Amino acid sequence: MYHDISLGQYIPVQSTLHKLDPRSKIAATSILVMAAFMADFPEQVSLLLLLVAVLIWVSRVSLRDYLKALRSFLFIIIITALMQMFFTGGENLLNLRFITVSFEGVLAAASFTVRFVIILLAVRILTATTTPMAMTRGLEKVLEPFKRMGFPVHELVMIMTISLRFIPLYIEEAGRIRKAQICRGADYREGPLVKRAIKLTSFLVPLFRISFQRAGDLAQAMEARAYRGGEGRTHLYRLQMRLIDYLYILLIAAISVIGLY
Amino acid sequence: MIRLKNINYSYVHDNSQLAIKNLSLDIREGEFLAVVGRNGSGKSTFTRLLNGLLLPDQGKVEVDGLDTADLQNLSIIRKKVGLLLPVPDNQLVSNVVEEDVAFGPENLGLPADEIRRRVDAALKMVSMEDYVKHPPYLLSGGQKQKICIAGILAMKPKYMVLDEPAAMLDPQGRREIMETLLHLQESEGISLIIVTNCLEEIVRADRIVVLDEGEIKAECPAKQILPKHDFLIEMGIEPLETTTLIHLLNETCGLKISEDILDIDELVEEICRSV
Repeated sequence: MYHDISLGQYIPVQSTLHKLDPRSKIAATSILVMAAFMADFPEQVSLLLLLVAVLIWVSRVSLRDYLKALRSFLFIIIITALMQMFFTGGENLLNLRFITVSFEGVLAAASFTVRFVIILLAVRILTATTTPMAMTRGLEKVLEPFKRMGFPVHELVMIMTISLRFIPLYIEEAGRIRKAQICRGADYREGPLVKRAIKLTSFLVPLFRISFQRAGDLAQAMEARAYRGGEGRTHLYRLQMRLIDYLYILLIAAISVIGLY
Repeated sequence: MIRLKNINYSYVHDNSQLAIKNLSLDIREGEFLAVVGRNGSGKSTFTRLLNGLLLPDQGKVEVDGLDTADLQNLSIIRKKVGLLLPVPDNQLVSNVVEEDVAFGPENLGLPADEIRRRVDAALKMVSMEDYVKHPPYLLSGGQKQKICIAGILAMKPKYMVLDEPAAMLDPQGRREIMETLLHLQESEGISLIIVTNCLEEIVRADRIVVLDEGEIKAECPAKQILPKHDFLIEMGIEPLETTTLIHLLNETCGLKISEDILDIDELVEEICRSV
């Protein structure tokens, strides 16, 4: 089951990245993501891709886990890339009857794909090397200024953490329901699209019902363990920015900026 | 002591269907209390009344003299009364074992090194200290349940309320969990309040309370209630295998085996003697 449900999950191995303070990783990831949006294609973007490759190597998480993260977005990547390719005007490369592909289109598609891959990988490096609770703490600290403006930072971050925790459960659950319905003669593969979509309700309704049940149970369990929101809560880990954390941010920022200018 | 006085509780607003009816009970410190009853008898409702997750419509629940209806007390009550819900997957908060166990102590506002100590101690108590950094979804059902128990132990409760702690487990995991719990009761002096419909788990209970339709139908030492074959059947509870066997032997073969025997070896000896 493991290979199916590692989406966005923490991967417990020992590496330098795992030991960094969550804040430095969040900061570095944000810089990388912004740089990926702003960098010129292809030289600067390639440099960023190289940086991400190095980080993947340093993270000691197997390449398979990263490829899986990409695979789940494959569909979106392909569709968007195709749109870019077909609907960008410019010098025609290929002229089929009603489809034209321009040189600029191909370039835009490639540029988009690489940028998107960089962003996905950067975020995956963050989630693979940071435990959910460390992430919660890190985000809470980073977003602290908003707290003073009355924004419920702790609560939102907690919601995010728990959603991540439930992803593997739902994937498991979805598999179970699907099999149960197939056993009872449901067929999600055959028939016209509309009919198949209607059939999906027999799959989605139980999934939703179970989700609500789970959410209710979890809320009770959390309350039973004296959870009352962020107020008065302490933490298992003490966050501490060490020299290596500052160096990490500096390094990522420096490379990203070199990329930009 | 947890004291329940004349509790009424209903899930519907007009109080037409009472889930708990005029229930009074004292739960003593350090005792092993078992609550049994068929599905819908009010067992789960009972557990949630003990730590203030549900508040009684009428009557009063007091934990060491603290009223659960007083919001000010809730934090202390939740620390004193640990509650384990039936499905482990639905109560694990984190993707890392040690973080999940730390969740309760964190909520209590303890300093970091104290949390660390408690997490390590709690994981040791359930012999899961080798899984500190594991994600729960790579653990078996029994192991997940142990992590949940550790999460409650780390809050150092005086009372542990367990709603069907072994329902999702195989016989092996079931025995392990029960051994762990009984050991904790002895070594840490924690009261165990176990809700179940499997009598095998609670043979060693000090007291058994039988619930039906939200009412206490019997409340006495385990040794007195476990042999009552017909009463248990009437309450929708499956008697112990030994009890059923004795009942059948006495009914059909006209043997006169004492119904009080709960131990299988003792029963074998007794049968050999009478045949």
